[in-house]
Amino acid sequence: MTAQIPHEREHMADLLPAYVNGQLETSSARVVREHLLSCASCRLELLTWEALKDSARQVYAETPLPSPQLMEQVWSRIASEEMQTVGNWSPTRLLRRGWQVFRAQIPLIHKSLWIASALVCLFGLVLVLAMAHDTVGHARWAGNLLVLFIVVAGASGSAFIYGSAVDPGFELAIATPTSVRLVMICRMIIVLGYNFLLGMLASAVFAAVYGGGLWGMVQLWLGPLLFLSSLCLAISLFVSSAFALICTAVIEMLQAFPATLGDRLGFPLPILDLGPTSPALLIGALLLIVCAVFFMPKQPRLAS
Amino acid sequence: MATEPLADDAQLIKRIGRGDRQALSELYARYQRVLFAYLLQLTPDYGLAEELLQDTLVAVWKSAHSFESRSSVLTWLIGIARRQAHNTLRQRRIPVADLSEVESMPATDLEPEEIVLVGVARAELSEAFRRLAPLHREVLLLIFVQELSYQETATILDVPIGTVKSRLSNARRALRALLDAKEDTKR
Repeated sequence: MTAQIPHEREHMADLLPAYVNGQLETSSARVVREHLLSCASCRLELLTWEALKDSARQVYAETPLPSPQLMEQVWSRIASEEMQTVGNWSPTRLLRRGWQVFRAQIPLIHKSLWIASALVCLFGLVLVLAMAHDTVGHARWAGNLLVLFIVVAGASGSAFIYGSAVDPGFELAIATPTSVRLVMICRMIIVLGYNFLLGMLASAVFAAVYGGGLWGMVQLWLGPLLFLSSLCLAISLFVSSAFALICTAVIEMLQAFPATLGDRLGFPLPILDLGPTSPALLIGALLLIVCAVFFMPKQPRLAS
Repeated sequence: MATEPLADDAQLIKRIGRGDRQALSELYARYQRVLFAYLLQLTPDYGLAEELLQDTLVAVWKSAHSFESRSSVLTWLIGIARRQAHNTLRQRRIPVADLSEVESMPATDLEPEEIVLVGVARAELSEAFRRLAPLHREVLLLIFVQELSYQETATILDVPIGTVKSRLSNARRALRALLDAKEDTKR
């Protein structure tokens, strides 16, 4: 500690606290020590500072520690402040944030959705492979049947993407300031992507067994899958997941067996043929998604 | 008792500046007692002191990238804690210390015999210490517990070195006055 060393005969009040701390340079400390030998009042003062230091350290030692949860509160404050600064809209920050939300949705989507879609696809594939596939007519029929299974598996999955009744992470979603629209779009992409992969796998196996190109098979189901999935999401949001499922089933039945059903029921049914992938179908799917996202019913929000 | 300056403290601050959460947790583990004890000198309210400690850590997280090792990590941290505390306390109109009353204490040179605190029981001394003005507890803590130099203390308190010295002497005198007052009430 740098301090002006007073003359040996003067009192050294200013230096004593630093002397008590052992912070004086060797030469200054020696001067103080020598002065203390001859000055009773400074010796007494030194003892006073030592007593003061002792009491300060005792009070410090008795200070309680902050609560163990303090750091968690700090992290949540940091997170909420960082979220507010997202308002600055830097592209990389926005992308990182979008990716975080996207990744966070995967564990929040209902587990049974993955299994159910895979099982429906697998069942359809096994059924199709077990059928006789010796003639061209049989192969076409088998292909249509597999398309039906792929579309039903995909579309029914979209009925369980979002909403309090079906969503285990719903409470969490509305308790965070993350946009529910962003959450829904992320989940839609995840579920559609998963169903697309399932469809591709099933189509690849089908193409390997029956022959014919993979793309020929894919274009049969891609458009209907997107359209029905969007429709199903919209219905599940505005009405309910169960009603969306029923609608999907009815539409698919009408598509697959219009004549048979009409004969059985004894009255003509409307012909509802979505057909293979077409621009109209893709535009319809896009419009339905946009409609679902922007006009989605207001949800109770716990966070703003 | 004073935290030994660890060689990698500055490194820790650099890591925090790069967004390393683990580094902030480590820093907190090292300095939580120091910072909390310091903040408790400024306010006796335990809850408020915790809130101020949170403010301090959030500020450390946000400003770690600008740390340039001009001061020691300890000085830098206490400086941040002090700024956060003063801002919050000012906003809430809670007086940190009544400066006019404390600093204008008569500076008459008392005889050493009058100011000696040696013979006083330890518990009594600690109790009187707790009743000191925040301004006095603060300077005593920085000098005698954190063992900061006059210069470092002056930097933290944003005052000249002379003020640190006079504040120390005033703190000692105030402690004596508190003990005397207690003696008088006993009689």
